[in-house]
Parts: sequence; C-alpha cells; structure tokens
Amino acid sequence: MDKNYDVIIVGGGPAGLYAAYKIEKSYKVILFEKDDVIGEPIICAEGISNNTLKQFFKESDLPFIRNRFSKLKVKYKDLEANVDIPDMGLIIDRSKFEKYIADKVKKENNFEIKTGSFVVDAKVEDEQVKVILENGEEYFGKILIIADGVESYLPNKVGINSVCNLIDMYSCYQQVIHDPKVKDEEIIFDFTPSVAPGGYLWVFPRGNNEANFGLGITSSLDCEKPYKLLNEYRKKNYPDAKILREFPGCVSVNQLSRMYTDRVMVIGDSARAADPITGGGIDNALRTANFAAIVANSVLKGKDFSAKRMSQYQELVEKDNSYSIKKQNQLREMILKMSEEELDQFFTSAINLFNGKKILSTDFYSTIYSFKSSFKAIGMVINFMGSLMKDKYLLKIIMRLMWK
Amino acid sequence: MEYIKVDKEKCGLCGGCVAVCPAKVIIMYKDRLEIRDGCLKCDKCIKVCPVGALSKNG
Repeated sequence: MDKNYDVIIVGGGPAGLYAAYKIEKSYKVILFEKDDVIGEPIICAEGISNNTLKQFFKESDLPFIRNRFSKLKVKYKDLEANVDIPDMGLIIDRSKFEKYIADKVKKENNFEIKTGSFVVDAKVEDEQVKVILENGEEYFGKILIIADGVESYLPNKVGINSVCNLIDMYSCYQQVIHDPKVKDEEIIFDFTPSVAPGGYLWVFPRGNNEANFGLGITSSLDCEKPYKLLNEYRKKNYPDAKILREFPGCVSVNQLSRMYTDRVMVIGDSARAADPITGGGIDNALRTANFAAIVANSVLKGKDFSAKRMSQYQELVEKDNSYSIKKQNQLREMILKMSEEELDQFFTSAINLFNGKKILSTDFYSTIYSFKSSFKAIGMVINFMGSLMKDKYLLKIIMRLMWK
Repeated sequence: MEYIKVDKEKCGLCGGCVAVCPAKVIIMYKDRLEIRDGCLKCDKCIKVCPVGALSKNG
C-alpha cells in the first residue's frame, strides 16, 4: 500500500475536518482520528456565531442546528443586563456537525478518513513529514496539518512548543440539563467571581428546555474544582433540573506564538485559537483551518515547504481584520489582574451600558457611534460585550474606534 | 511508585493535563491516560483537572 500523501491531517474535530474539506480535490489527503467514530465523544458547549456559520457554510439547509437564541443575559453578582441579539448566534449539535463535514470530505473530496488511528509521533525530514501511528504504521506527507485538539500533543514532536501555562487554561465542567426554567431563546453568562473564579458560568439553550449548563475557571487560581462549583450553583438556581449527561473539559487560550514550522501548520484548539474571553473554539477552528487549507493548496503547487513559506499561514491568521485574538487576550489578562473592586466597576459599567439595548447585525455602526464619546474603559467594556456576542464584525469596529 | 495516580472512574479524557504537562509525559489514548517516566513533579496536571482525577500517590 502506498503511504505517501500530499497532506496528512491529524485530528478529526471541526478544525481537521474543515481543513480537509477545503483542500483541493486533486491532492491526495488522509485524515487520522484517534477515536473510533467521527463526532464522538463530544466535549463542547456547542455555541457558534451566525456570521461564522454563514461565512464557512454556504448551504441554506444546515442539518446540525439545535437552536437559535435571540436574547443575551449577562449576570454579575445581583446585577444583570438583558440584551436583544436576534440572529447573532446559535447552538449546534456538534456530533452531527462533525459528521456533516466528514461526509463532505469523503463524498465530495474523496479523501480518506482513518478512525481509531492515534498518531503518537511525527518527524519533519528533508523531503517529507513522517507520522507514526500507535500500531507502528508509518505514513508520509509533503505537508502535515496538526489539529489534535486541546491536548496539543503533536506540535511538541515537531519542535513547536505548545505547553500551556495554567493561567491560559480554563478548567470546565458541563452538565446537559433539562429544566422548565431553561428558556430556549435566552443564553446566559454569569461572571460573578465567587461562582466562577477567572471565568464564567454558562447556560446555552439547546431547545425543549434543555441546556448545556457549564462553568469554567482559570486553572492557575486556587479554588474549588469546577464540578463542585457547578453543582453548588445548580442546586441553588436549578434545583429541579434533570441531569442528562455530564463531563469535564478544558479550554486553552493565548494562541501559540508560532503556529508553523517546516512543512507543518497547527490549527484550531491545538494552536490555542479559542476565543480568550468566551473560550469558544469552533469559530476559530474553522477560521484557522480555512487559512491552513489556502496555504496548503498554494504551497503544494511549488517545491518550497520551508518554515518561511509556511509562515504565510500565521500571517493570514493575524492579518484577518475581522477578528483580533491578541486584543481579546490582552483584555482577558487585564480582567484577570483586576481587584474585586475594579471588577465591580467594570461589570457595572458593562451591564448599565448594554441593559435593554438591541443589537442588530445591520445596526452596528449607529450602535457603536452612540458609544464613541466615552473613554477607553468603556471601549474595553464594549469589546468585552462584543466578544460575548461572538460577532467578529462588531469587534472589528469597536477595536478601530477604541484601541487606536 | 509513580508520583501521579489517575482515578479512571473520574477521568473524562478531556486532555487538559496533557496540554499543561511541561515534560509531555502524559499520553491520552482514546480510552485511557498513561503517565510515562520523566515526570517533573510540578503538579500542574493535578491543578488543571476539572474533576480531581489526578492526585499524588501515597
């Protein structure tokens, strides 16, 4: 059997699958997934912005949408902001989502997806990249795209340091709950420090009074484990909830300073590309996967696979002016350094500013201009709320206005 | 005796410990964690674990 490929992709989550989907059909591509089935197990809160979905999937009928919400509630201690956000985000069925893309990869692109295949090692050689599976099998490629998820194991094997600091990691716990108290149209974030130190608690409505109910904390802080904090909150606020499923999860942020090397690109959660504030990983998994595929398609036309050539991938990610992950990370670092008093002021401003407002996709400019007269602190607040709404377009405008 | 022990009942295979391990000695298979030689005893995996599945032996 010929084990030489143009592109080897490691990881069959949203990033790896989408990269495979966007690579030209004429190339020979193989994707390795550790688990036996694509789309299982799922450790995810399943939120995605509508803009991202429209940008990356042109089809009108998407069979993996669970629920669309139209209201955002942000809580902080006894304060809350209620904001109308029609059409801004939705909750997907992540398992169906992955199966949907995998189907395209197999049927439209004719690429091979090998499940139950754990890639344990990779080596960059002069003329190729070699990957080694758990069973000792070796495969060779011209390019390697690493999408091995939050554990980010493989980048270190090819000389890309992906060891994550505790401060850049959210430790999370999620329960899928059913409770008549869950409103299908409303997404909730609770930033109360005692509820979720250095993070937040979320209620993402799945429809039919079900929700992805979870909590993430910054791992470097000394506090109770997330599963304890979540259970305390649930007993207090959703005492009658039925727990359908529960699981731990981790989200790493602060994007890798170098996401490439000779013949290699690292994408999605493996590159710590999740949004630093919301921890949302799917949007940026698709974004980085798309750029990696663009670069792979272009690089494969020539003979230069050097790090310098591959660096075009990171340039594209960083120059994408619809979104700045660096600004988001700076904001996260600022929030983490705030005293409780400063946090009180920050969230009080945020909540007063946005409570009762309606944010329409078409109405961003006027909304933002009405806030422009304020100062930088307010810019931070708006930026922060923008990230909750997961709308990159809104963020772009805010950043132009406030961060210059 | 190994420095870190894993409670298989609690572990949800989320990958957080693998990501923060500076020695890269934690391997996550599809159904289990394996901790190889070379642990630096930094305890980061214990801190990151959302469910307390990792702890010091003894």
